[in-house]
Amino acid sequence: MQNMPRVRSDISVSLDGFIAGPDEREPQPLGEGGLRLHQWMFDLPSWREPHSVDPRTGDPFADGSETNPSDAVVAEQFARLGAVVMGRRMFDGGEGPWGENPPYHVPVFIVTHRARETVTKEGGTTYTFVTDGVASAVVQAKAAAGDNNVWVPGGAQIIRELLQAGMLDEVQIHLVPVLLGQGRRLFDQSHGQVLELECTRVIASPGVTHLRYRPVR
Amino acid sequence: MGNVIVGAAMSLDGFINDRNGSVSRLYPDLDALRKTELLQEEIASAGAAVMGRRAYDMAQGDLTGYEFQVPIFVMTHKVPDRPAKGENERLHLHFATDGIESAIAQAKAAAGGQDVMVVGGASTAQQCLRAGLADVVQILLVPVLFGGGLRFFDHLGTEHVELERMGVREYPDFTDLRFRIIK
Repeated sequence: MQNMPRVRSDISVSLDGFIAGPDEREPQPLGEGGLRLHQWMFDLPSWREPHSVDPRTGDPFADGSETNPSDAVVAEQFARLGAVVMGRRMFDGGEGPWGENPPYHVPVFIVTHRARETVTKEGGTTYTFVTDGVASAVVQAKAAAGDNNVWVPGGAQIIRELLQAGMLDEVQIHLVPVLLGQGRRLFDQSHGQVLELECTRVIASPGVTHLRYRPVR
Repeated sequence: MGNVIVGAAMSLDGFINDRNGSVSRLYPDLDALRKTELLQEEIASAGAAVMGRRAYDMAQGDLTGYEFQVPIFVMTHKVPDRPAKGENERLHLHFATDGIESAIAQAKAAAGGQDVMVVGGASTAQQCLRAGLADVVQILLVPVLFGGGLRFFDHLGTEHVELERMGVREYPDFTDLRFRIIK
């Protein structure tokens, strides 16, 4: 069991439960004010290292990276990374900004209804489009990951589905101290089954609180 | 000056009761909760409380042994016919019939520089947040997903409100998160 790949998710959420603001479309795929939820990471060395463009400006990063306890939290996401599973909406928002050399450097499986040929990018990232559901995407990602971890960087729907399917080993919420009032929620009135979790770690960092949970099975 | 504190025990998916209206999962051990330094501090710093009518009715108008032994202002449109129970020389009940601003103002005056606790339910807390009357938000975040129920942060309008974390404490059953609203 020791080498079983773990499936972990991460998502930034406002105190009132939103992962994006209203009116999600280009040029603001996270909706109005949605970028606010990710501010905490844009100046971290561990986030800048795999990314080439500052999402706030669309340009290369200006000087002034800043380290704090969040740096290690982001570094963990990329450590022992074997494969990525993400939702179609997140992919659509990211495909452009991630460019020809995306930050993942591993196979990425996108859960979608629209079939598309696998795309090979520079630096080891491939985009594979999975049309037969999240469970299939996770199975494929685990196979591709070998002994390494499968990371689910979002969005909300895929995290909810994986939780309900009992396929996540770890859920991390990056709680951002802002009330957005409207937008897309991480958790809606799903009427899914009641799920128990266990809080396994709390890290208080400037401008964000990292809360890690393990579903109780 | 004391703070106006809105807060709740809340499921990780944002609900303060489950789909059947039950709060029992959020308060698995009330006796243990009462003994935490968290609640002891709150009790020591509370000078008055504002309560929604629904919470008052859920207590059936009986506040005997209520942890906040302070003047309590119940938000209501109509003063109940049945007399309240549990009043004593510290815990006086007042019915606030002319809106949240007035209720908070009265509670602040009664609190004498101590904190005003906004307790019981979502609606009163939401009115405080919308009207910019709250200073502090305190959430006891319980690691359970209800998949439905009564949402705490709802109907807040569209204005972004920035907060800063004042403290976070881990307890076996929940995480205590406290934020100051930046005005």
